[in-house]
Amino acid sequence: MAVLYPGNIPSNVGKDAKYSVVSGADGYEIRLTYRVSNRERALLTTDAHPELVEMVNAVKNEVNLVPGGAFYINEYLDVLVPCTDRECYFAGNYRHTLEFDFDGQKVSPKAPDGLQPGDEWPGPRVGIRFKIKAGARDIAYLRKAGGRETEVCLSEVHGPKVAAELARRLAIHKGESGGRIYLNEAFEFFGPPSTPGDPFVYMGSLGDDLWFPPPAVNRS
Amino acid sequence: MSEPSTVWSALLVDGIAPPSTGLVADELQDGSGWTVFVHEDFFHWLHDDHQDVALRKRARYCLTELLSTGTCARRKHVRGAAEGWVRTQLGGTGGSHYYLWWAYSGYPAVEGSDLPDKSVLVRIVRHHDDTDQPLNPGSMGDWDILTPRDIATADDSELTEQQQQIVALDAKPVRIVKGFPGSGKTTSLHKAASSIWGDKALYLTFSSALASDAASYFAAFAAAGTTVDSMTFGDLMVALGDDGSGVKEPIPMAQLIQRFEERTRAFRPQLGKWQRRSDELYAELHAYAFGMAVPLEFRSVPASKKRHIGRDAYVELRKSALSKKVAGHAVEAAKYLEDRGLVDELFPSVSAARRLLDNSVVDLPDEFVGYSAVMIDEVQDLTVVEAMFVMSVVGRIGRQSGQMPHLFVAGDESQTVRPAAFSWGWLGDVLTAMLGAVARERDEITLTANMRSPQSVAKLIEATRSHYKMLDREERPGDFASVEADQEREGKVLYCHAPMGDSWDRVVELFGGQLSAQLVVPGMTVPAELVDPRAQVATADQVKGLGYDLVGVVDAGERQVELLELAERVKEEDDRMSGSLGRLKADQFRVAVSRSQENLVLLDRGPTDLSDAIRDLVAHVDPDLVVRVDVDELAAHLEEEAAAVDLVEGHLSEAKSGLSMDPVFALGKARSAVDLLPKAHREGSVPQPLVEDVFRVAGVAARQAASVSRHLGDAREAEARQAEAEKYFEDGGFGDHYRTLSELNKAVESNAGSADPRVILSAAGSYDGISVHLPQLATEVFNSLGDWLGEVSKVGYSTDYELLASIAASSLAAEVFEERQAGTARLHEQALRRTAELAVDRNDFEGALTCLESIEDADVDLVAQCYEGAGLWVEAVGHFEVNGRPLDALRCAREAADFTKALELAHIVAPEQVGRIRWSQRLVEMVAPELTDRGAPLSLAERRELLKVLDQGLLRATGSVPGEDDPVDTMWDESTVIVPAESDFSEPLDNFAPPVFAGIKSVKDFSDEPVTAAVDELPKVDVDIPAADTRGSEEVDPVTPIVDGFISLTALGAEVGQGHEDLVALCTKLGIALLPGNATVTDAQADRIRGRVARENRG
Repeated sequence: MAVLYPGNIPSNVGKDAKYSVVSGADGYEIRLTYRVSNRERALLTTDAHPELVEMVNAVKNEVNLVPGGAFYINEYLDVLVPCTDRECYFAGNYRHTLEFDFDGQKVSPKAPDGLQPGDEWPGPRVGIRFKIKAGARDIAYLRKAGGRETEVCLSEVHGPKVAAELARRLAIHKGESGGRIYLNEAFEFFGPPSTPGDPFVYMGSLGDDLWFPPPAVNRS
Repeated sequence: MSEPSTVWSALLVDGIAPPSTGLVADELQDGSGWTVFVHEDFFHWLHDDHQDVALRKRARYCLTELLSTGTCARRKHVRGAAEGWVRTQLGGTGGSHYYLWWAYSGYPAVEGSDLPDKSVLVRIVRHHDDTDQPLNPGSMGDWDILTPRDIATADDSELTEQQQQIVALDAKPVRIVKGFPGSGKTTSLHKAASSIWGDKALYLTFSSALASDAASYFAAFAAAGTTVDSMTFGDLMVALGDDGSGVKEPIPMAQLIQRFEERTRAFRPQLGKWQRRSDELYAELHAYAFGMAVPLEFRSVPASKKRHIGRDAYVELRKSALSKKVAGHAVEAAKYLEDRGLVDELFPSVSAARRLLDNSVVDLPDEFVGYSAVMIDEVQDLTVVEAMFVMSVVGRIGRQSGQMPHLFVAGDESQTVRPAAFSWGWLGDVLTAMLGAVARERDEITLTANMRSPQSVAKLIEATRSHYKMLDREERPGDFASVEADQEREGKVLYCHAPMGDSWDRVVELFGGQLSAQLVVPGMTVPAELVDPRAQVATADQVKGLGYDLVGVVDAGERQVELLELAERVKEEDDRMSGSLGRLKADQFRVAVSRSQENLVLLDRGPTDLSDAIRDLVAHVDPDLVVRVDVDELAAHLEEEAAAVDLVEGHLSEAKSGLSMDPVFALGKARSAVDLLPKAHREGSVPQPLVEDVFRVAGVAARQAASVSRHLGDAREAEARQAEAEKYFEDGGFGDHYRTLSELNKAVESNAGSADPRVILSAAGSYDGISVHLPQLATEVFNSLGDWLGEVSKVGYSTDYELLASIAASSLAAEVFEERQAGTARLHEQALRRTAELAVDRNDFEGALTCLESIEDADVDLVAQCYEGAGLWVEAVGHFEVNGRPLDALRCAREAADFTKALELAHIVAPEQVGRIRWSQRLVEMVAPELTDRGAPLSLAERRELLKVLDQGLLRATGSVPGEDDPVDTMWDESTVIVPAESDFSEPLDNFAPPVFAGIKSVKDFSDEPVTAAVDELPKVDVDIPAADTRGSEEVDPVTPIVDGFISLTALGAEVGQGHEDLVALCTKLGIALLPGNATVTDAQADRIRGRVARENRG
């Protein structure tokens, strides 16, 4: 039976901010809408992850009654599947990296070699949303349960100093006002920059910084 | 049969369950956004039982303010060696002797101390004179974070007995809280929100400044898990669908009266005694003629169909207070206004309340369902019609939620600066009429302590009771009780005669140099000769709910004489109108004097010294209470002129308080702050956050004042104020944010849907920045973006702009706002859908597809139609197939000349087409290279002949129609076909499997290999997970480091010198999820672990 995910639930709006399982020529495959520029998007697919397809479709079939559709992989490598009932379910833990081919170039959640914080983020925009709090003193996400929303702060887990250190490092390219950032399954942070309209910027890797503990779900 | 009533009645809540008993909250919200750090020095002082109890109580009050708003009142900047700190007076024996020292982040005192942004450090409590030693802020290690819970527990025990009654968890469902100015009514309601009454509570009040203060308080101190919504009565009306002008943003009373005078000029000769008393007539009509006109019989006044009470009923109602003749003139004026459609404009709130009350049986919006407590503050400012409307809301909340909410109602009969003719008597009847049996179960609690005023001022307030004794009994507020003043605090009550001219100018100058000082006229309007930007004189209405260290009551003696004369007329001439007027003037006097938190100066600026009249007023309370001084002596009594930076902060604070209620008044205060900045800079350093705040608030005030000017039809003044706002924002460094907002407003102003998406994108992207730097305007951005999203969700994106730009704008707006307003993402999707539908209507299939591709669960059928319309046949086939429309898929497959797919589909749904398609496919096969590239070549003649034959054959086949008994399929004789042995088309033609349109394929179906094959191919290693007691690398058996392609945790432990358990714990801290067995991690996870271990080893 599909299990509701107890952690940070993504609610990304953009089509390019999520992976999808779609029906391809030879069966279901993984699709990424890759934003080449503000005016151009490419549909990239890979059929190299049948196990992942199976995990996602198992949930989609159970809840939506049809296969296919959006999913996310978070920093714990947990596969999260939003469904038509507006809930988000846990599909399992998937440890292989999704890579796509775009005109001979590899598009992957891992930052390319040499990419520096502050550079334009060339990877997929799929990630889980967090917020650098105003003043860059903490990082938080909203946990929604029923009609209730709770802000969960990194400082509550590891103390204000640890939280502020990481927030400040990331805010160098985001601005002191804070705002939303995304973390992907390869532990890379990216997000909209302080100047609206500019492309997403790479903010650095989570690296050896402490982070929110993994939510308690059965990953067997 | 009569029509069902559209007006709410108590019958509708008959049988609704009473509210449940409240619960003690274990946790409080702690969500104001401000972090308060306390230094260990202060912490020890606060918990030292040897320290003065009153000082510690006052310190806790300051901490409450800091936790909710990040600041506290009565603050001064320290000068000299300890410059950069702010100190707030705590009190002490014999005067203001002890101060709380604190600083905001960004202030010079805490520079370099790592105090995070939006934080406050509370450092120490020091003696008044102790300012010449520098004070080190310390560092993180010396500070603790203060939470609301830390002080809430201590605060509870400091509530008075009466306040504890108000917040008791098991009291009656309705609690009526009565109290004098400063008696702690609002504080009691705030405290009530720290208990759990349910999931949601609603706080309502008249003043938006108080609503905003309450919202800040609740963000920190409301029970965790309880949402407390704070709104004004105007907000409530707007939320229920009334957007009449002057409802959401109230127009100051003085301006309404000014407009009333203009509109009734022609009628004035027919007004009898009211002819020269426009403000009193306005008050009469507001409180009675319109304010008591309700659509049901109430207190013997029949139901009013019109907005005003009918003539006979009105005269009957008011004859004892005004006389028949005067009441008749008043009701004629009401009729005059209603006949000319002027009621909405001149009495906006009362009109809106009546409109809503007329339709009060309609259900409230969903967000109102589930409120388990409703707190109504400043109830005395409500007229009957407004109170009925509000109570109908309470009743509807109960009915729709299935359980009545707890109801807290607080007010003071003698503070009705807004003409409402309020009395506790009629409020009780309103409660019964609207809530029935529930309202009869009520506690009435009177608060008698004065928390705000020192003893001397409290005595004067007590003395003003004599005003009411002079009045007719009907005009006298009831429930008078003695006031217990704050014995700890000292204050002065002075009388000063300062005739207009040099003396008055000197008073203005003296007040201008004092911190937290305000001149107040106890009337409804400020006389023209007192309108002076230096003096900033306010009416009692404008300062209601605010407190100042020094208050100057202008024309105090004159007002006292006036009240005596009115009383005389009531007594000698039976002039009842004077009694009614006297009540209003007495209330205004009382409100004006009760604004003082420390010193009070009663001023007269006419030719006569009226100190005797004031002495008479206080004689029965304390004959020596008032000290008469001349202007020079007044200067000696007041504190020495405050530092300019403190005056800047004082003006700023007052401007902030006035913003929502009276922007013009706020602008005056803000201008004073701006003008004082150069002087403050000359005197010493001025913290940059303060400078920015001054320009920010000045800009907001100027902008709102411009809006008032526009409302009053003064375009020139509006333009000047707008330009002033722009300058302030520019000077404060907020120019970019403000321009973004202005462009957004301009773009959505006329037709939200046609706004340029680039502007929307920019505004959505700037929202976080605007929220931080111009928080007062963030709601405007939010609303404008919401308007645009709402509009495009109905009419689609404008075709004047690039579609992708619109989608990007809509997507970002939805993304930014989704977390603040759930459901915004749906608007984005609706906009995409609507745009797609409209694009299909005009055959713009590419445009439609652009939209549909961005929708997660787009209608597959529509998508397929669009692909077909755009000529993208292959994609169309796929989508029609998925949607179970094989015939459409077949049509598209044939358009795509995909014979294989067409044949597959035709076999299932169109067997009559199979033959032709197979024939076509065979033709293709016949010209496959395997058959054409070998053997003897064709002659040119043969080629020509074949072309001719094929052309004619294809022409015939294109135009042929199969007869019912002549299926084309039979034309083909399969036995005659030569199929190349190694052709790509060698699959047996009759071996088509029907496609699967429904049901779910297993992964296995999509691959020649079983899914597990890839995994199976990985080298298998049996891993022996070490036992839990494994410690250190030397105890670990050598294991293969790679397991199923991942890193063995045991091997990694050996590599980094960590035991298995420690490594598992480290993974949790790093946010690495381990699978059952905790055996392996990925390469990237291993790198993080290595990095962390190395970092910790480095110390």
